[in-house]
Amino acid sequence: MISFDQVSFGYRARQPLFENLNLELPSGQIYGLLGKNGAGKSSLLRLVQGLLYAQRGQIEVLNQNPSERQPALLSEIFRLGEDFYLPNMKIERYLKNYAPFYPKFDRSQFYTYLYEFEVEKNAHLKQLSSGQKKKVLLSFALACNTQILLLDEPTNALDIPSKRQFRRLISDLISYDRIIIISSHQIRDLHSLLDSIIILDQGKIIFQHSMMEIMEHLNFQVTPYPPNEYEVLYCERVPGGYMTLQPNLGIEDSLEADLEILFNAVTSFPEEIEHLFTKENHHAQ
Amino acid sequence: MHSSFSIERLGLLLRKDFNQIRKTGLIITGVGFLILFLTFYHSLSNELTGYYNQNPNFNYHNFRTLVDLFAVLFLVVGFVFTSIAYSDLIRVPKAQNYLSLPATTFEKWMSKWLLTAVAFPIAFLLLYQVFSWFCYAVGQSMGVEIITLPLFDPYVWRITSYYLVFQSIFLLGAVSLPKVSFFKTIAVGIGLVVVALLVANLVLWIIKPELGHGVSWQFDFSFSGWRIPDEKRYFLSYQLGSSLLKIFCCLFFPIIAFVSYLKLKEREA
Repeated sequence: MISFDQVSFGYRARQPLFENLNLELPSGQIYGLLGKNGAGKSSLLRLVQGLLYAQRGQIEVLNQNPSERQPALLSEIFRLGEDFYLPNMKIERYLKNYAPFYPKFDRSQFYTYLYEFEVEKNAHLKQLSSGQKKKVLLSFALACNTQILLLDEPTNALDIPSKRQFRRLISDLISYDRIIIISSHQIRDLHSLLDSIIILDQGKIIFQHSMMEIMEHLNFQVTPYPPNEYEVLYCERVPGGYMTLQPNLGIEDSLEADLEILFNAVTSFPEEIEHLFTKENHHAQ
Repeated sequence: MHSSFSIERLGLLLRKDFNQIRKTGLIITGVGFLILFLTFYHSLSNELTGYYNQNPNFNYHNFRTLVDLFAVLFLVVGFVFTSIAYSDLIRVPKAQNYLSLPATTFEKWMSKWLLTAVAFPIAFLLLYQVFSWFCYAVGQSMGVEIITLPLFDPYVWRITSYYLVFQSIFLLGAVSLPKVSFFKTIAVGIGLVVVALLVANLVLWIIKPELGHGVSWQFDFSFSGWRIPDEKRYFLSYQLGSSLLKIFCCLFFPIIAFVSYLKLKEREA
Protein backbone atom coordinates (compact mmCIF):
# COMPACT_ATOMS: atom_id res chain seq x y z
CA MET A 1 0.00 0.00 0.00
CA ILE A 2 1.21 3.50 -0.86
CA SER A 3 -0.44 6.45 0.81
CA PHE A 4 0.06 10.20 0.62
CA ASP A 5 -1.61 12.19 3.37
CA GLN A 6 -1.76 15.97 2.89
CA VAL A 7 1.64 15.93 1.19
CA SER A 8 3.19 19.20 0.08
CA PHE A 9 6.35 19.36 -1.96
CA GLY A 10 8.10 21.87 -4.19
CA TYR A 11 11.55 22.32 -5.67
CA ARG A 12 11.57 26.04 -4.89
CA ALA A 13 10.26 28.00 -1.95
CA ARG A 14 6.85 29.53 -2.61
CA GLN A 15 6.46 27.41 -5.75
CA PRO A 16 4.81 24.21 -4.52
CA LEU A 17 4.47 21.36 -6.96
CA PHE A 18 2.13 19.39 -4.73
CA GLU A 19 -0.04 20.96 -2.08
CA ASN A 20 -2.00 18.82 0.37
CA LEU A 21 -1.88 15.86 -1.98
CA ASN A 22 -3.87 12.80 -0.92
CA LEU A 23 -3.45 9.47 -2.61
CA GLU A 24 -4.09 5.85 -1.70
CA LEU A 25 -2.84 3.02 -3.85
CA PRO A 26 -3.75 -0.46 -2.61
CA SER A 27 -1.58 -3.42 -3.61
CA GLY A 28 -2.34 -5.86 -6.38
CA GLN A 29 -2.90 -3.33 -9.15
CA ILE A 30 -1.15 -1.75 -12.10
CA TYR A 31 -1.60 2.00 -12.04
CA GLY A 32 -1.25 4.28 -15.04
CA LEU A 33 0.06 7.69 -14.02
CA LEU A 34 -0.74 10.26 -16.67
CA GLY A 35 -0.11 13.96 -16.88
CA LYS A 36 1.27 16.72 -19.05
CA ASN A 37 4.97 17.59 -19.00
CA GLY A 38 5.86 19.15 -15.66
CA ALA A 39 2.69 17.90 -13.98
CA GLY A 40 4.78 16.14 -11.32
CA LYS A 41 4.66 12.49 -12.40
CA SER A 42 8.38 11.78 -12.02
CA SER A 43 8.52 13.78 -8.77
CA LEU A 44 5.67 11.70 -7.38
CA LEU A 45 7.57 8.50 -8.20
CA ARG A 46 10.72 9.91 -6.58
CA LEU A 47 8.74 10.78 -3.46
CA VAL A 48 7.56 7.16 -3.30
CA GLN A 49 11.14 5.96 -3.62
CA GLY A 50 12.42 8.38 -0.97
CA LEU A 51 14.65 10.25 -3.41
CA LEU A 52 12.68 13.40 -2.60
CA TYR A 53 11.34 14.35 0.81
CA ALA A 54 7.85 15.73 1.46
CA GLN A 55 7.97 19.20 2.99
CA ARG A 56 4.67 18.65 4.78
CA GLY A 57 2.40 15.68 5.27
CA GLN A 58 3.04 11.98 5.52
CA ILE A 59 4.04 9.43 2.92
CA GLU A 60 3.79 5.75 3.73
CA VAL A 61 5.12 3.01 1.51
CA LEU A 62 4.62 -0.56 2.73
CA ASN A 63 3.95 0.92 6.19
CA GLN A 64 7.30 2.73 6.24
CA ASN A 65 8.40 6.29 5.67
CA PRO A 66 10.44 6.26 2.45
CA SER A 67 12.44 9.35 3.47
CA GLU A 68 14.07 7.27 6.22
CA ARG A 69 15.67 5.30 3.39
CA GLN A 70 15.80 2.05 5.26
CA PRO A 71 17.56 -0.64 3.22
CA ALA A 72 14.68 -3.03 3.91
CA LEU A 73 12.29 -0.69 2.12
CA LEU A 74 14.75 0.31 -0.62
CA SER A 75 15.19 -3.36 -1.46
CA GLU A 76 11.42 -3.58 -2.07
CA ILE A 77 11.30 -0.64 -4.50
CA PHE A 78 12.75 -0.46 -7.97
CA ARG A 79 12.35 2.61 -10.12
CA LEU A 80 13.25 2.62 -13.78
CA GLY A 81 13.58 6.29 -14.66
CA GLU A 82 13.08 7.91 -18.04
CA ASP A 83 16.78 8.81 -18.00
CA PHE A 84 18.57 5.81 -16.71
CA TYR A 85 22.16 4.86 -16.00
CA LEU A 86 23.98 1.67 -16.79
CA PRO A 87 27.71 1.38 -16.14
CA ASN A 88 30.13 0.28 -18.85
CA MET A 89 30.57 -3.37 -18.03
CA LYS A 90 29.40 -6.80 -19.14
CA ILE A 91 25.85 -7.81 -18.21
CA GLU A 92 27.25 -10.62 -16.05
CA ARG A 93 29.39 -8.19 -14.05
CA TYR A 94 26.44 -5.80 -13.73
CA LEU A 95 24.44 -8.64 -12.18
CA LYS A 96 27.29 -9.50 -9.80
CA ASN A 97 27.52 -5.88 -8.67
CA TYR A 98 23.87 -4.93 -8.31
CA ALA A 99 21.66 -8.04 -8.03
CA PRO A 100 22.78 -9.05 -4.49
CA PHE A 101 21.24 -5.84 -3.13
CA TYR A 102 17.80 -7.21 -4.03
CA PRO A 103 17.16 -10.37 -1.99
CA LYS A 104 14.34 -11.59 -4.24
CA PHE A 105 16.32 -11.18 -7.45
CA ASP A 106 15.87 -14.20 -9.70
CA ARG A 107 18.75 -14.79 -12.09
CA SER A 108 16.94 -17.32 -14.27
CA GLN A 109 13.99 -14.95 -14.58
CA PHE A 110 16.41 -12.22 -15.69
CA TYR A 111 17.91 -14.40 -18.41
CA THR A 112 14.44 -15.44 -19.58
CA TYR A 113 13.44 -11.78 -19.94
CA LEU A 114 16.67 -11.00 -21.77
CA TYR A 115 15.98 -13.88 -24.13
CA GLU A 116 12.44 -12.67 -24.74
CA PHE A 117 13.72 -9.16 -25.44
CA GLU A 118 16.33 -10.70 -27.76
CA VAL A 119 19.35 -9.31 -25.93
CA GLU A 120 22.53 -11.37 -25.87
CA LYS A 121 23.27 -12.29 -22.25
CA ASN A 122 27.06 -12.08 -22.69
CA ALA A 123 26.89 -8.62 -24.23
CA HIS A 124 28.88 -5.66 -23.00
CA LEU A 125 26.57 -2.82 -21.95
CA LYS A 126 28.77 -0.30 -23.77
CA GLN A 127 28.04 -1.98 -27.10
CA LEU A 128 24.25 -1.95 -26.75
CA SER A 129 21.90 0.61 -28.26
CA SER A 130 19.82 2.73 -25.88
CA GLY A 131 16.75 0.57 -26.63
CA GLN A 132 18.70 -2.60 -25.81
CA LYS A 133 20.06 -1.01 -22.64
CA LYS A 134 16.51 -0.22 -21.63
CA LYS A 135 15.59 -3.85 -22.22
CA VAL A 136 18.45 -4.98 -19.95
CA LEU A 137 17.35 -2.60 -17.22
CA LEU A 138 13.70 -3.60 -17.64
CA SER A 139 14.67 -7.26 -17.34
CA PHE A 140 16.65 -6.40 -14.23
CA ALA A 141 13.77 -4.39 -12.77
CA LEU A 142 11.30 -7.21 -13.34
CA ALA A 143 13.67 -9.90 -12.04
CA CYS A 144 14.24 -7.95 -8.79
CA ASN A 145 10.71 -9.02 -7.80
CA THR A 146 10.31 -5.96 -5.61
CA GLN A 147 6.88 -5.27 -4.14
CA ILE A 148 6.86 -1.85 -5.72
CA LEU A 149 7.88 -1.28 -9.29
CA LEU A 150 7.94 2.29 -10.58
CA LEU A 151 8.31 2.63 -14.33
CA ASP A 152 8.79 6.07 -15.81
CA GLU A 153 8.21 6.01 -19.58
CA PRO A 154 9.13 2.32 -19.82
CA THR A 155 8.19 1.90 -23.48
CA ASN A 156 10.26 4.83 -24.76
CA ALA A 157 12.97 3.54 -27.08
CA LEU A 158 11.44 0.06 -27.22
CA ASP A 159 10.71 -1.42 -30.65
CA ILE A 160 7.19 -2.63 -31.53
CA PRO A 161 7.68 -6.35 -30.70
CA SER A 162 9.35 -5.39 -27.41
CA LYS A 163 6.39 -3.25 -26.39
CA ARG A 164 4.18 -6.30 -26.80
CA GLN A 165 6.63 -8.42 -24.79
CA PHE A 166 6.71 -5.74 -22.13
CA ARG A 167 2.93 -5.73 -21.78
CA ARG A 168 2.87 -9.50 -21.50
CA LEU A 169 5.65 -9.63 -18.90
CA ILE A 170 4.07 -6.93 -16.76
CA SER A 171 0.65 -8.57 -16.82
CA ASP A 172 2.27 -11.88 -15.77
CA LEU A 173 4.10 -10.16 -12.96
CA ILE A 174 1.27 -8.55 -11.03
CA SER A 175 0.23 -10.32 -7.85
CA TYR A 176 -1.89 -9.41 -4.80
CA ASP A 177 1.07 -7.96 -2.85
CA ARG A 178 2.67 -5.89 -5.61
CA ILE A 179 2.12 -2.39 -6.90
CA ILE A 180 3.22 -1.35 -10.34
CA ILE A 181 3.01 2.31 -11.31
CA ILE A 182 3.62 3.15 -14.94
CA SER A 183 4.05 6.77 -15.87
CA SER A 184 3.85 7.29 -19.59
CA HIS A 185 2.81 9.58 -22.40
CA GLN A 186 2.50 6.60 -24.72
CA ILE A 187 -0.71 5.37 -23.19
CA ARG A 188 -1.93 3.61 -26.35
CA ASP A 189 0.90 1.10 -25.72
CA LEU A 190 -0.39 0.35 -22.26
CA HIS A 191 -4.16 0.72 -22.07
CA SER A 192 -4.82 -3.04 -21.99
CA LEU A 193 -2.48 -3.42 -19.06
CA LEU A 194 -3.74 -0.89 -16.56
CA ASP A 195 -6.16 -1.51 -13.69
CA SER A 196 -6.43 2.11 -12.58
CA ILE A 197 -5.79 5.53 -14.05
CA ILE A 198 -4.40 8.48 -12.13
CA ILE A 199 -4.25 11.83 -13.89
CA LEU A 200 -2.06 14.57 -12.46
CA ASP A 201 -2.46 18.16 -13.51
CA GLN A 202 -0.56 21.09 -12.03
CA GLY A 203 0.38 19.09 -8.97
CA LYS A 204 -3.16 17.90 -8.26
CA ILE A 205 -4.78 14.56 -8.81
CA ILE A 206 -7.74 15.43 -10.98
CA PHE A 207 -8.79 11.88 -11.77
CA GLN A 208 -8.30 8.53 -10.07
CA HIS A 209 -10.56 5.66 -11.07
CA SER A 210 -10.29 2.03 -11.95
CA MET A 211 -10.77 0.90 -15.55
CA MET A 212 -13.90 -0.87 -14.40
CA GLU A 213 -15.37 2.38 -13.08
CA ILE A 214 -14.36 4.19 -16.26
CA MET A 215 -16.17 1.69 -18.45
CA GLU A 216 -19.13 1.79 -16.10
CA HIS A 217 -19.52 5.56 -16.30
CA LEU A 218 -18.20 6.47 -19.71
CA ASN A 219 -18.99 5.40 -23.21
CA PHE A 220 -16.48 5.65 -26.06
CA GLN A 221 -17.92 5.81 -29.55
CA VAL A 222 -16.81 6.66 -33.07
CA THR A 223 -19.34 8.48 -35.24
CA PRO A 224 -18.93 9.36 -38.90
CA TYR A 225 -20.46 12.84 -38.42
CA PRO A 226 -19.80 15.59 -35.89
CA PRO A 227 -21.94 14.82 -32.85
CA ASN A 228 -24.31 17.23 -31.18
CA GLU A 229 -22.14 19.03 -28.61
CA TYR A 230 -24.91 18.80 -25.99
CA GLU A 231 -24.95 15.03 -26.19
CA VAL A 232 -21.24 14.34 -25.65
CA LEU A 233 -18.74 15.19 -22.95
CA TYR A 234 -15.82 15.39 -25.32
CA CYS A 235 -15.22 14.87 -29.00
CA GLU A 236 -12.10 14.59 -31.10
CA ARG A 237 -11.56 14.13 -34.82
CA VAL A 238 -10.00 10.75 -35.59
CA PRO A 239 -9.37 8.94 -38.88
CA GLY A 240 -12.76 7.73 -40.08
CA GLY A 241 -14.90 10.13 -38.06
CA TYR A 242 -15.19 11.49 -34.55
CA MET A 243 -14.27 9.79 -31.32
CA THR A 244 -16.76 10.82 -28.66
CA LEU A 245 -16.86 10.41 -24.94
CA GLN A 246 -20.26 10.44 -23.35
CA PRO A 247 -21.93 9.28 -20.16
CA ASN A 248 -22.62 5.58 -20.20
CA LEU A 249 -26.40 5.34 -20.16
CA GLY A 250 -26.31 1.63 -20.81
CA ILE A 251 -28.07 1.98 -24.15
CA GLU A 252 -25.19 1.29 -26.43
CA ASP A 253 -22.08 -0.90 -25.93
CA SER A 254 -18.93 1.16 -25.53
CA LEU A 255 -15.84 0.67 -27.65
CA GLU A 256 -12.56 -0.16 -25.87
CA ALA A 257 -11.47 2.74 -23.63
CA ASP A 258 -9.24 5.19 -25.43
CA LEU A 259 -6.98 6.59 -22.74
CA GLU A 260 -5.74 9.43 -24.91
CA ILE A 261 -9.31 10.66 -25.40
CA LEU A 262 -10.00 10.14 -21.71
CA PHE A 263 -6.88 12.10 -20.77
CA ASN A 264 -7.74 14.98 -23.10
CA ALA A 265 -11.32 15.02 -21.84
CA VAL A 266 -10.28 14.99 -18.17
CA THR A 267 -7.66 17.71 -18.57
CA SER A 268 -10.09 19.86 -20.59
CA PHE A 269 -13.19 19.34 -18.42
CA PRO A 270 -12.00 17.92 -15.10
CA GLU A 271 -14.99 18.99 -13.05
CA GLU A 272 -17.61 17.76 -15.53
CA ILE A 273 -15.99 14.33 -15.77
CA GLU A 274 -15.47 14.00 -12.02
CA HIS A 275 -19.04 15.15 -11.41
CA LEU A 276 -20.25 12.27 -13.55
CA PHE A 277 -18.44 9.78 -11.33
CA THR A 278 -19.50 11.35 -8.03
CA LYS A 279 -23.10 11.87 -9.22
CA GLU A 280 -23.38 8.21 -10.07
CA ASN A 281 -21.94 7.31 -6.67
CA HIS A 282 -24.51 9.52 -4.93
CA HIS A 283 -27.28 7.80 -6.89
CA ALA A 284 -25.91 4.45 -5.84
CA GLN A 285 -25.83 5.52 -2.19
CA MET B 1 17.15 -7.32 5.58
CA HIS B 2 18.97 -5.46 8.39
CA SER B 3 18.13 -1.79 8.72
CA SER B 4 21.22 -1.07 10.83
CA PHE B 5 24.82 -1.56 9.79
CA SER B 6 25.42 -4.75 7.85
CA ILE B 7 28.88 -6.13 7.03
CA GLU B 8 27.37 -8.14 4.19
CA ARG B 9 26.00 -5.03 2.48
CA LEU B 10 29.26 -3.18 3.09
CA GLY B 11 31.04 -6.06 1.35
CA LEU B 12 28.66 -5.78 -1.61
CA LEU B 13 29.21 -2.02 -1.80
CA LEU B 14 32.98 -2.46 -1.60
CA ARG B 15 32.89 -4.92 -4.47
CA LYS B 16 30.68 -2.65 -6.56
CA ASP B 17 32.75 0.46 -5.82
CA PHE B 18 36.02 -1.33 -6.47
CA ASN B 19 34.79 -2.73 -9.79
CA GLN B 20 33.66 0.73 -10.79
CA ILE B 21 36.86 2.50 -9.90
CA ARG B 22 39.48 -0.16 -10.53
CA LYS B 23 40.22 0.65 -14.18
CA THR B 24 40.79 4.37 -13.56
CA GLY B 25 42.58 3.61 -10.30
CA LEU B 26 44.92 1.17 -12.04
CA ILE B 27 45.67 3.69 -14.79
CA ILE B 28 46.45 6.48 -12.29
CA THR B 29 48.60 4.17 -10.13
CA GLY B 30 50.30 2.77 -13.25
CA VAL B 31 51.19 6.27 -14.44
CA GLY B 32 52.52 7.08 -10.96
CA PHE B 33 54.82 4.07 -10.92
CA LEU B 34 55.89 4.67 -14.51
CA ILE B 35 57.05 8.16 -13.52
CA LEU B 36 58.83 6.66 -10.52
CA PHE B 37 60.51 4.01 -12.67
CA LEU B 38 61.59 6.52 -15.35
CA THR B 39 63.09 8.74 -12.66
CA PHE B 40 64.88 5.76 -11.18
CA TYR B 41 66.15 4.67 -14.58
CA HIS B 42 67.36 8.18 -15.39
CA SER B 43 69.13 8.42 -12.03
CA LEU B 44 70.66 4.98 -12.48
CA SER B 45 71.93 5.92 -15.94
CA ASN B 46 73.59 9.00 -14.47
CA GLU B 47 75.05 6.84 -11.75
CA LEU B 48 76.46 4.36 -14.23
CA THR B 49 77.95 7.00 -16.50
CA GLY B 50 79.23 9.32 -13.77
CA TYR B 51 80.23 7.34 -10.74
CA TYR B 52 80.53 3.75 -11.87
CA ASN B 53 83.51 1.96 -10.29
CA GLN B 54 84.27 5.04 -8.21
CA ASN B 55 81.21 4.93 -5.99
CA PRO B 56 79.43 1.58 -6.01
CA ASN B 57 76.62 2.89 -3.78
CA PHE B 58 73.64 4.60 -5.36
CA ASN B 59 74.12 8.33 -4.99
CA TYR B 60 72.42 9.63 -1.86
CA HIS B 61 71.01 12.64 -3.68
CA ASN B 62 69.35 10.38 -6.25
CA PHE B 63 67.99 8.22 -3.47
CA ARG B 64 66.42 11.25 -1.77
CA THR B 65 64.92 12.36 -5.08
CA LEU B 66 63.30 8.96 -5.48
CA VAL B 67 61.98 8.94 -1.92
CA ASP B 68 60.63 12.48 -2.22
CA LEU B 69 59.09 11.60 -5.55
CA PHE B 70 57.49 8.56 -3.96
CA ALA B 71 55.94 10.80 -1.30
CA VAL B 72 54.65 13.29 -3.88
CA LEU B 73 53.24 10.53 -6.08
CA PHE B 74 51.67 8.75 -3.13
CA LEU B 75 49.87 11.93 -2.12
CA VAL B 76 48.90 13.12 -5.62
CA VAL B 77 47.78 9.70 -6.90
CA GLY B 78 45.86 9.14 -3.67
CA PHE B 79 44.11 12.49 -3.86
CA VAL B 80 43.18 11.97 -7.51
CA PHE B 81 41.92 8.47 -6.65
CA THR B 82 39.85 9.93 -3.77
CA SER B 83 38.51 12.70 -5.99
CA ILE B 84 37.02 10.21 -8.45
CA ALA B 85 35.49 8.08 -5.69
CA TYR B 86 32.13 9.81 -5.90
CA SER B 87 31.86 9.91 -9.68
CA ASP B 88 28.48 8.24 -9.02
CA LEU B 89 27.13 11.65 -8.07
CA ILE B 90 28.11 13.50 -11.26
CA ARG B 91 24.99 12.93 -13.38
CA VAL B 92 21.43 12.86 -12.04
CA PRO B 93 20.42 9.36 -13.25
CA LYS B 94 23.72 7.93 -12.02
CA ALA B 95 23.34 9.66 -8.67
CA GLN B 96 19.77 8.42 -8.29
CA ASN B 97 20.89 4.91 -9.15
CA TYR B 98 23.59 5.09 -6.48
CA LEU B 99 21.50 6.77 -3.79
CA SER B 100 18.60 4.35 -4.21
CA LEU B 101 20.79 1.27 -3.72
CA PRO B 102 19.42 -0.67 -0.74
CA ALA B 103 22.12 0.20 1.80
CA THR B 104 22.43 2.79 4.55
CA THR B 105 24.21 6.09 3.93
CA PHE B 106 26.84 5.11 6.47
CA GLU B 107 27.57 1.88 4.58
CA LYS B 108 27.83 3.78 1.32
CA TRP B 109 30.18 6.31 2.87
CA MET B 110 32.20 3.66 4.70
CA SER B 111 32.74 1.71 1.50
CA LYS B 112 34.26 4.75 -0.26
CA TRP B 113 36.30 5.69 2.81
CA LEU B 114 37.71 2.19 3.20
CA LEU B 115 38.67 2.11 -0.47
CA THR B 116 40.37 5.50 -0.51
CA ALA B 117 41.75 5.89 3.03
CA VAL B 118 42.67 2.30 3.88
CA ALA B 119 42.85 0.07 0.80
CA PHE B 120 44.64 2.61 -1.40
CA PRO B 121 47.55 3.41 0.99
CA ILE B 122 48.06 -0.28 1.73
CA ALA B 123 48.03 -1.18 -1.96
CA PHE B 124 50.27 1.74 -2.91
CA LEU B 125 52.82 1.00 -0.17
CA LEU B 126 52.89 -2.69 -1.05
CA LEU B 127 53.37 -1.81 -4.70
CA TYR B 128 56.15 0.56 -3.70
CA GLN B 129 57.80 -2.24 -1.76
CA VAL B 130 57.64 -4.49 -4.83
CA PHE B 131 58.95 -1.61 -6.92
CA SER B 132 61.84 -1.12 -4.46
CA TRP B 133 62.78 -4.80 -4.69
CA PHE B 134 62.59 -4.53 -8.46
CA CYS B 135 64.88 -1.48 -8.41
CA TYR B 136 67.24 -3.28 -6.07
CA ALA B 137 67.36 -6.27 -8.42
CA VAL B 138 67.96 -4.03 -11.45
CA GLY B 139 70.74 -2.19 -9.57
CA GLN B 140 72.30 -5.49 -8.46
CA SER B 141 72.35 -6.76 -12.03
CA MET B 142 74.25 -3.61 -13.01
CA GLY B 143 76.58 -3.80 -10.05
CA VAL B 144 75.08 -0.84 -8.20
CA GLU B 145 73.93 -1.12 -4.60
CA ILE B 146 70.49 0.48 -4.35
CA ILE B 147 69.33 1.83 -1.00
CA THR B 148 65.61 1.11 -0.72
CA LEU B 149 63.14 2.82 1.56
CA PRO B 150 61.91 0.31 4.19
CA LEU B 151 58.14 -0.05 4.30
CA PHE B 152 58.05 0.55 8.05
CA ASP B 153 60.31 3.58 8.01
CA PRO B 154 59.02 6.48 10.16
CA TYR B 155 59.16 8.63 7.04
CA VAL B 156 56.59 6.36 5.35
CA TRP B 157 54.30 6.59 8.37
CA ARG B 158 54.62 10.37 8.41
CA ILE B 159 53.68 10.58 4.74
CA THR B 160 50.78 8.18 5.38
CA SER B 161 49.50 10.38 8.21
CA TYR B 162 49.71 13.44 5.92
CA TYR B 163 47.80 11.45 3.36
CA LEU B 164 45.02 10.60 5.83
CA VAL B 165 44.64 14.23 6.93
CA PHE B 166 44.48 15.70 3.44
CA GLN B 167 42.63 12.73 1.94
CA SER B 168 39.65 13.55 4.16
CA ILE B 169 39.52 17.00 2.52
CA PHE B 170 39.53 15.46 -0.95
CA LEU B 171 36.83 12.99 0.11
CA LEU B 172 34.69 15.89 1.26
CA GLY B 173 35.45 17.63 -2.04
CA ALA B 174 34.46 14.49 -3.97
CA VAL B 175 31.04 14.39 -2.28
CA SER B 176 30.40 18.13 -2.44
CA LEU B 177 31.84 18.87 -5.89
CA PRO B 178 31.87 15.53 -7.71
CA LYS B 179 32.60 16.99 -11.16
CA VAL B 180 36.32 17.78 -11.74
CA SER B 181 36.57 17.33 -8.00
CA PHE B 182 40.38 17.24 -7.71
CA PHE B 183 40.94 20.71 -9.15
CA LYS B 184 37.84 22.21 -7.52
CA THR B 185 38.94 20.92 -4.10
CA ILE B 186 42.41 22.42 -4.56
CA ALA B 187 40.91 25.74 -5.70
CA VAL B 188 38.45 25.87 -2.79
CA GLY B 189 41.19 24.78 -0.35
CA ILE B 190 43.57 27.52 -1.52
CA GLY B 191 40.73 30.04 -1.36
CA LEU B 192 39.88 29.04 2.21
CA VAL B 193 43.52 29.17 3.32
CA VAL B 194 43.91 32.66 1.81
CA VAL B 195 40.72 33.84 3.54
CA ALA B 196 41.82 32.26 6.85
CA LEU B 197 45.23 33.95 6.62
CA LEU B 198 43.64 37.29 5.84
CA VAL B 199 41.25 36.96 8.78
CA ALA B 200 44.09 35.84 11.10
CA ASN B 201 46.22 38.79 10.01
CA LEU B 202 43.31 41.15 10.38
CA VAL B 203 42.63 39.91 13.91
CA LEU B 204 46.34 40.20 14.75
CA TRP B 205 46.45 43.68 13.27
CA ILE B 206 43.48 44.71 15.42
CA ILE B 207 45.05 43.24 18.58
CA LYS B 208 48.60 44.40 17.89
CA PRO B 209 48.49 47.10 15.20
CA GLU B 210 52.25 47.74 15.35
CA LEU B 211 52.89 44.22 13.99
CA GLY B 212 51.16 44.93 10.74
CA HIS B 213 52.38 48.52 10.50
CA GLY B 214 53.07 49.19 6.87
CA VAL B 215 55.18 46.08 6.31
CA SER B 216 53.58 42.72 6.04
CA TRP B 217 50.38 40.78 6.30
CA GLN B 218 52.19 37.59 7.12
CA PHE B 219 51.07 35.53 10.02
CA ASP B 220 53.59 33.35 11.76
CA PHE B 221 54.17 31.69 15.08
CA SER B 222 57.39 33.57 15.90
CA PHE B 223 55.58 36.12 18.09
CA SER B 224 58.21 38.71 17.21
CA GLY B 225 57.43 42.09 18.71
CA TRP B 226 55.56 40.56 21.64
CA ARG B 227 56.95 41.14 25.10
CA ILE B 228 57.36 37.48 25.97
CA PRO B 229 60.35 35.96 27.85
CA ASP B 230 62.64 33.86 25.65
CA GLU B 231 61.84 30.48 27.25
CA LYS B 232 58.10 31.11 26.90
CA ARG B 233 58.63 32.35 23.38
CA TYR B 234 60.37 29.04 22.52
CA PHE B 235 57.55 27.09 24.16
CA LEU B 236 54.87 29.07 22.31
CA SER B 237 56.65 29.07 18.97
CA TYR B 238 57.84 25.50 18.77
CA GLN B 239 56.61 23.12 21.43
CA LEU B 240 53.06 24.38 21.77
CA GLY B 241 52.80 25.18 18.06
CA SER B 242 53.94 21.71 17.09
CA SER B 243 51.67 19.99 19.64
CA LEU B 244 48.70 22.09 18.61
CA LEU B 245 49.36 21.21 14.99
CA LYS B 246 49.43 17.50 15.83
CA ILE B 247 46.22 17.74 17.87
CA PHE B 248 44.61 19.79 15.10
CA CYS B 249 45.56 17.18 12.49
CA CYS B 250 44.32 14.30 14.67
CA LEU B 251 40.98 16.02 15.18
CA PHE B 252 40.79 17.49 11.71
CA PHE B 253 40.88 14.19 9.84
CA PRO B 254 37.94 12.47 11.63
CA ILE B 255 35.92 15.69 11.72
CA ILE B 256 36.28 16.32 7.98
CA ALA B 257 35.62 12.64 7.28
CA PHE B 258 32.45 12.89 9.36
CA VAL B 259 31.42 16.06 7.49
CA SER B 260 31.83 14.15 4.20
CA TYR B 261 29.42 11.53 5.59
CA LEU B 262 26.91 14.25 6.51
CA LYS B 263 27.33 15.75 3.05
CA LEU B 264 26.51 12.38 1.47
CA LYS B 265 23.43 12.16 3.68
CA GLU B 266 22.45 15.63 2.53
CA ARG B 267 22.85 14.57 -1.11
CA GLU B 268 20.11 12.01 -0.53
CA ALA B 269 17.58 14.68 0.28
